Amino acid sequence: MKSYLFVSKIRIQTALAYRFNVISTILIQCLIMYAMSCFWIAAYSGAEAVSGVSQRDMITYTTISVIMGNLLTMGVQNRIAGSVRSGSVALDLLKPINIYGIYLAEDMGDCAAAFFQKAIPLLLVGTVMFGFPAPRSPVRFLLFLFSFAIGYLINWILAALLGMCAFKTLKLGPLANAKGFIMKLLSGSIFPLWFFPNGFRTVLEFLPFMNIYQLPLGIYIGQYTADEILLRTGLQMFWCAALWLLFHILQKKAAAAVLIQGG
Amino acid sequence: MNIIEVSHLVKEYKKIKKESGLQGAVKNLFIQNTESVRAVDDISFEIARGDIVGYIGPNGAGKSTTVKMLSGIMQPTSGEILIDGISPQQDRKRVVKNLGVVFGQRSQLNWDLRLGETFELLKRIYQIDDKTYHQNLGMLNEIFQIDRFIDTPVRQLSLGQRMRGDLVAAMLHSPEVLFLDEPTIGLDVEAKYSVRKFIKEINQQSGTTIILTTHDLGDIQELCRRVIIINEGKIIEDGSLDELADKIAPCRDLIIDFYHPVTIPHPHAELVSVNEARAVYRFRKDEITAARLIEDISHTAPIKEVGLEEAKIDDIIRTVYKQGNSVTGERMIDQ
Repeated sequence: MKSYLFVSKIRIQTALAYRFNVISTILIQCLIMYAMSCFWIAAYSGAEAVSGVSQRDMITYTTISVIMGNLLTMGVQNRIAGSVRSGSVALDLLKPINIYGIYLAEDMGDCAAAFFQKAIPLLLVGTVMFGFPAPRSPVRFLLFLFSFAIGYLINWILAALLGMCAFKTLKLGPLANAKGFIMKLLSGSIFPLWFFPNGFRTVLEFLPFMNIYQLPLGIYIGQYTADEILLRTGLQMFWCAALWLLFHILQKKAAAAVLIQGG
Repeated sequence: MNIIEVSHLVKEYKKIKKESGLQGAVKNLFIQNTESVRAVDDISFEIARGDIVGYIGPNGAGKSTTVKMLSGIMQPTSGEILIDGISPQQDRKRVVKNLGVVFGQRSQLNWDLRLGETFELLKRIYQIDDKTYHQNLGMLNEIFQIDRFIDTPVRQLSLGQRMRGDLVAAMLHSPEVLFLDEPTIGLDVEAKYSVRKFIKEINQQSGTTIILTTHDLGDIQELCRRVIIINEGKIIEDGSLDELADKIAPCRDLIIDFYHPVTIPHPHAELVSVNEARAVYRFRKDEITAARLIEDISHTAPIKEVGLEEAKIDDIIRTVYKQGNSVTGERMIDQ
């Protein structure tokens, strides 16, 4: 346990050293946040509410979504692919420790660093531009945090699963792009699912992706009733457990088939 | 007592056969021909506790593959490995706790961190208690003087410093077995010397069993009591370097400078060359001693100076590699 914490700590420390990266990310993310909010203002064009969501809520949704995007770190994907490609996966496997635990600790460290370096500045900028994106109620905020945590895990496991493809293919290439695109579109990070046609929406609601963005965000702006929250959180936890199980099985297989590059 | 036991170890790779050229590249998209290659082919050996063994062979002989299987990061196709009685394939975590590994061509040090921070991380990963940690670091520092660059970020270290760092990192948890895969690759004379000194000292002080893979035969000559030579995935020689030298190159050359050009034959030595007043005699060690030869010859003509030339280790190993190739030559053609 100590080693995982230490890894996270080191990651925070390292992240703090790269200032240029932080400043450029914040600038770009502010731009995206501003453009998206303007898009919604234009789309609403004064309408009271669309699908039961007001313009104010939609801007809150967008602001928080952009902030979440910066917190949902998944270095694991490229970390696995990179170390398989370079062959350094051999060194990772030589430690008497679960390497995926280390990868998760690294990502959590990055997430913690991003919280201070990116999330807070973005929240401040967002507040200045469009007012403070307040949650519906303090209880909803706590539920949001819980939902976000599970969404984080789902997101991480999906990334790790994709990363493990590298054991077979050595390179992720278009797979990574496709996954990024699907995630953006189907998770509700840009367009909430309630704007999709009914049939398509129902399908999406049963897929794991919406549990990463849409569910926590919907809870945050108060889109869901208490019953819905209960049901959806149950489904979210089911997905998290199912994906973890799949990951657990594949990880054993991948380790057995490990192909190590070079000398 | 044996700390490492390997019996009938085999590793087979499935290799995709790619055809060359544009036509081949298009063909490869649709049809894949696989062929299996035996990187390690029925290898068995034992290694005694506290020994330093050189595991050598030409490039692509299967050395690194063996090391990877020994350390449990690669599954053998068949065969059994026991390290201190435990199979690394069955209980990887327990085996690697007792193992130090250094790959000369890749570093386990974290690029972004100071050297000392990597050590701190290893301390936690291997759950080394404070006392042992400081004791080990102190001992290793005495040999290597790493405290001069322990606070430098790893990316700023020279290759020699990095290698020292890697060796210390591998020894921090006082493992009983140390695998060194080309630890002196690319190092200058001074750094090479200190790496060799390090290997010798930890072997003496801690009784660490060391398996050394290298292409630098100076390393072997200076460190190893025993060498295992593999080629094409098979062990072709196993024994001490002296035994090997006697077997492969039983002859030595005696160079004698006379005062005048003379030609003196000897029944137990072959006169290889006579050049002015210098004659070179080749003799078998088991037939006659150099002292006897000198004595015999000095009866006939006065000797000014003598020199004795041992077979060069490079030549011996080259001869062994070549022999190995001729044994397995047929298989090569098949492939």
